Amino acid sequence: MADEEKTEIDHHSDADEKIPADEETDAIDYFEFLPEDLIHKIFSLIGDAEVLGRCLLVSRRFKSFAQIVPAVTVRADFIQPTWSLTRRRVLNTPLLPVNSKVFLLDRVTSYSPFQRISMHQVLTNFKKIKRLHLELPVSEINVLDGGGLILKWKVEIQSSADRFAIFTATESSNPDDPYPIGLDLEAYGNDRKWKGEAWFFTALAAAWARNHCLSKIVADYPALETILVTDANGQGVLALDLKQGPNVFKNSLTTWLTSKDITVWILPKLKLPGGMVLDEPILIARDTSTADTVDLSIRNGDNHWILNSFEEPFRTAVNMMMQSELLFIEEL
Amino acid sequence: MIKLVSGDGAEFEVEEEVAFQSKIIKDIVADADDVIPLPTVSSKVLIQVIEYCRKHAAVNSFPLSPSSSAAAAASSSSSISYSKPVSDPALRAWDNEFVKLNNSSLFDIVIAANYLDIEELVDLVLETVADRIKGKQAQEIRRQFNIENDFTPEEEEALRRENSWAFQNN
Repeated sequence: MADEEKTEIDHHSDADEKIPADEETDAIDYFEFLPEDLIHKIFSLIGDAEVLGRCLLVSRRFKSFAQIVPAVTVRADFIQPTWSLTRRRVLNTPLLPVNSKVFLLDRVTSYSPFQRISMHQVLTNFKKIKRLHLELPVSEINVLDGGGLILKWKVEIQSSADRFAIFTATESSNPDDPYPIGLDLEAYGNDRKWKGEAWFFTALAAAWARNHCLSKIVADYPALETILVTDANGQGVLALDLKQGPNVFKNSLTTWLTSKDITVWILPKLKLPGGMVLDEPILIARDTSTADTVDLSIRNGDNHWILNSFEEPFRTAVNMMMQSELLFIEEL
Repeated sequence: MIKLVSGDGAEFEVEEEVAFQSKIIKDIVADADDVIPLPTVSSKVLIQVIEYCRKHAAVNSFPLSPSSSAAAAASSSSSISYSKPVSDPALRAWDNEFVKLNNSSLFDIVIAANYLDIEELVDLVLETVADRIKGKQAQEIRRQFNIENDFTPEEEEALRRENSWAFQNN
């Protein structure tokens, strides 16, 4: 096959001269000949705010394309609402190396050993931005030294409704026993109460804090349709849906923590197909967007929003929990 | 067999399943003859596009090659499955090799692939171009794609000041 192609080239070598001039001269601007929709697609694929920011400087044409991307991802070393500079610190500033990029979620810029960057400086460049993705360097809740504790959460907020799914478990240290070490077997069955474990409140507090930090951006950029806040650890996801208007979540944190319509799944132990064994996996979900309680819509199909809130292998774990007989559902 | 004729008059005979990687050719063949002139595509570019289509047609219509089916068997213990092109690691590796071309060739290919409506090839090249922009300073991007800096020094300085957030810690 290769030989055949080679002879083709040789045979038509004189025809090669008709190929546009970029073979002979180096001076041709490659983007000049690219259809505009393809250029748009390249800039959309870039997505990263810093890369797009450097593209603004390349040429007028590059600037005009970079300015109209619909989605931008900002990767910060740290983000901080401005009010925590002037008032009491609400979020702890972690130990950051000098020259770290700290993104301020407001218009104000100040000076410090860190490179403090106002989000307004960033967002003002992107005139058509509809989707903003903020990636935090680490999750707010440190569970890494907690002896194999796994915590995953996703909170979605629309103007008139919200829903969340929180999953936790411990990687088992005795995978062959049917129950976790030290667990009272009698506790399972009807008597197992969900005690409202601390991580549940912590996860919701983290989501609430993220949402609170974003309020100024939401107010200043009404064209934004979605804001996604993730962390590099893959622990939590906050998704704001602003399509129905800028009236984002106004409920207080207390509303979440004391809500009566939470569904809880608990299993003593769960063995995943991949071999991972989880001790006492707990799934908690709430959905105010439908009249149904969460559990009624659970069993139809594997495209349920709760499943889609988690990545593998926890998606499988959550699916197995939802398919299994519920050990416990109770109002708080 | 379908005969493709490049803009410089070279003729290429290819199997239907290879040519049909292009949606445009598939539509043309459905209601016309089997000789398809492609006046805007040079033979040099057409050879590369056919190479891509031949590879992808083979993977799309036949069981996995021994190396990739071994990889698939390792990942799923049940039965050997037929893999989609995107998720086939061997094909992805082949794609990565395929795009190791200079920008001149890459841009010629994407323009041809866009014209021929070969979606996967268009996406592959655009992703490659996007990757080549990432991690580079403005001056390097200009040099790589022969882009003329048409800002005045004052304008450039102002932009640089306003967007200092986008530059590596100086």
